[in-house]
Amino acid sequence: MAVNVAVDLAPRSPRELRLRNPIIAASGTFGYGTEYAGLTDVQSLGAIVCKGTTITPRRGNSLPRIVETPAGMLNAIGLQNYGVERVAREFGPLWATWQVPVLVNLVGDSVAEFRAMAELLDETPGIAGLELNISCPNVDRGGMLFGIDCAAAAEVTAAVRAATTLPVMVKLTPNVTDIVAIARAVADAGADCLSLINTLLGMAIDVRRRRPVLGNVTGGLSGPAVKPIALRMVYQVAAAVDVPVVGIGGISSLTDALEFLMAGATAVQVGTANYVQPDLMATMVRELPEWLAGQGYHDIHQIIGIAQPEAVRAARFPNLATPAAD
Amino acid sequence: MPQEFTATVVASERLGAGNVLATYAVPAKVLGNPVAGQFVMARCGTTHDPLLRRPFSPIGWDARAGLLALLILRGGQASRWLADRAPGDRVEMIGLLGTGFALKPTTRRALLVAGGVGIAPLLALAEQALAKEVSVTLLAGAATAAGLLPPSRVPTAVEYVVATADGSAGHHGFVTDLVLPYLDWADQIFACGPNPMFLSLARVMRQHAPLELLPPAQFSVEEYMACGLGVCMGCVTETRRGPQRVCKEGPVFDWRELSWL
Repeated sequence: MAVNVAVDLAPRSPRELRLRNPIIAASGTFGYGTEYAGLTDVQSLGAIVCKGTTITPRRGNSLPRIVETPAGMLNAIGLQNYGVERVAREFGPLWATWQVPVLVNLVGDSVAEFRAMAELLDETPGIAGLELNISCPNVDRGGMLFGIDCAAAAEVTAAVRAATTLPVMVKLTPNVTDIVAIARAVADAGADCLSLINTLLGMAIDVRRRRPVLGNVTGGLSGPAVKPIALRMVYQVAAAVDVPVVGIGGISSLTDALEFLMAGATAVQVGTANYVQPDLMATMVRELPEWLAGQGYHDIHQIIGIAQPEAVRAARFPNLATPAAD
Repeated sequence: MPQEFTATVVASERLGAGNVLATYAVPAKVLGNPVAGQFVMARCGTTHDPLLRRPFSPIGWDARAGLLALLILRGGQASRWLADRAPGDRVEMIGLLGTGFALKPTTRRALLVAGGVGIAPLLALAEQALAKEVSVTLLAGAATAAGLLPPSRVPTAVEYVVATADGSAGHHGFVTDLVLPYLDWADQIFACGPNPMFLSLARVMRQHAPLELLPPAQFSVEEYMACGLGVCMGCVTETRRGPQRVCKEGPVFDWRELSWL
C-alpha cells in the first residue's frame, strides 16, 4: 500500500508549499543545494533552505568560526554570503529546473531590508518560499534581536507578508523566555508556517590560551546536544498555533525526526548532521514510508502530533491515528 | 567529484608516541585523480561524540592497489579513535576534497617545509616530485622527536632535515630556522603546517629577497572544519580576494594571496 508522506506547509497561501516528503535541509548546512552533488540524491529531498542571505554580500566573522563541543558544535560564521541579488540571479534559474523546492533564508538588519529582499524575490523564478531568520539584530531598535520581542517579530513578519505572495516560514530563536508567545505573534502576523529552533547561544573557552575559542566570543550551539530542548519547544508551539510547525534541532536519524513529527511538527529540518552524513536526509526519505507502513499507517498525518495531550490532538490534529495502547 | 566511501584498515604501524601510519583499502573511484595536498574527511567514531569528521591529507597512496595512507598524530579524542583502529576495522570517509599542490613542469628543485602533521601531504608531494626527477629537500619540524616522521619513512633520494622545539632531534628550534640556505637553491617552495609557521616562513622569505626574486610558494593552510565540503563557511582564511574556504578554494594557496602573512 502506498504511504502518503506529502505535507502542506502553507495551507493559507495562494502559492502552495507542498512537499513530497517532510525532510528539509536546514539553512547554512546545505549551501545552495549544489555542493552535495555526487554525495546524495538532492532531488529526493522534501525541500532545501539555502544559506542565510542578506541584502548585500557579507564577509563574515573573524576566525575561528566553529568549534566542536560535546555532541554538538558552536558556530559564529557571521553570515558570509553572496547577497540576495546574486543568489536570485545565479541560483534562481537553476532552482527553477529542480524537482526539489528551494526556500531562501533571509536575514535583515531592519524591517526595510527584509521587505526589500522579499519584494525582489517575489517574482524570481525558482524560489518556492522564504524563511525569515529573525535571530538577528534590528538596527532600528538599538540592535535588539527581532526574534526575542513579540512586537518586533510580528512587525517584520507582517512587512514581509505584505511584500510577497510567496509562502513565508519564520524561524524562531530559542533564546527567549517564552517561545510560545513569539510563535503566536508571528503566526497572527501572517506567517504561513514556523520553523524552530535556531541555534542556542553558547560559548567555549580555550583553557590553554585563557580566552574564548570563537573569534566572535559567542556562537550558536547545534547538533544532537540541543535536540531535547528543540523537541520541548516544538511540542509547546505546535499545541499553541494553527499554522504548520517545522521542527529543527539536532536531528540525526529517522527516529529523531519521528520524535519531532509526533511532537506536532509537520516537517523537519536536518542541519548539523548533514556535515557528518551527507546522505542522511535522502536515507530518511527512503526510510520514512517504510517505517510508517511497517507500523500500519497509510498517511504521515496519522502520527503528526500523536504525542500531544488528548485535548490538543482533538483541536489541532484531526487526522491523527489513535495512539497505540501501552 | 568527492565520494563518500568506506575505508578498511589493512595495516597500522606505530611510529612512536602513539602516532600511527595507517593504510586503508579504498574503492578505486576515490583515487581516480589524486593530487598531493587534497584531503579526506574521516569520521572518528560511531557515536555523536566526537561529532564532526576530521580532515586528513593522505601521506601517500597506491591507486592501482586501491590503497590510501594517513599519518595520524595522537592528539584529541578523534585522532586517538582513528589511531586505535586495527586491521579489518572500517572507517567512513569523504574525499578526495579541496585543491592540492601544483608542481610546475619546469620545477627542478623543490623545497618542502613541514610543521607537525603537515608533513603528510608533503611526503605525498615528494613522491610525485621524485617521479618527475625533481630534487627534493624536506625540512620538518615538531615539538619533540616523537612527533617527527622517522627517516626510514622518507625516500632516500629526499634530503630530510629536521628540527625539534625541545632539541630532542636535529636542529634545536623551529623548522623555519633551516630555510634560509635553500631559498636561492629552490625553484618552487611548498609548505604545510600551523599558521605561526607560515608567518615565520614568510618573514624569512621576505627578508631574504624581494618578492619577484623569490621562488613561487604554495602554503597548505590548516583551519577548523565542520563539513569539508564548502558549505559551512567555517574554515575560511583571509586572502587578497576576500575570505576563501580552506576546504574548497584551498587548502593550498599561493602564499602571496594570503593577506594575513
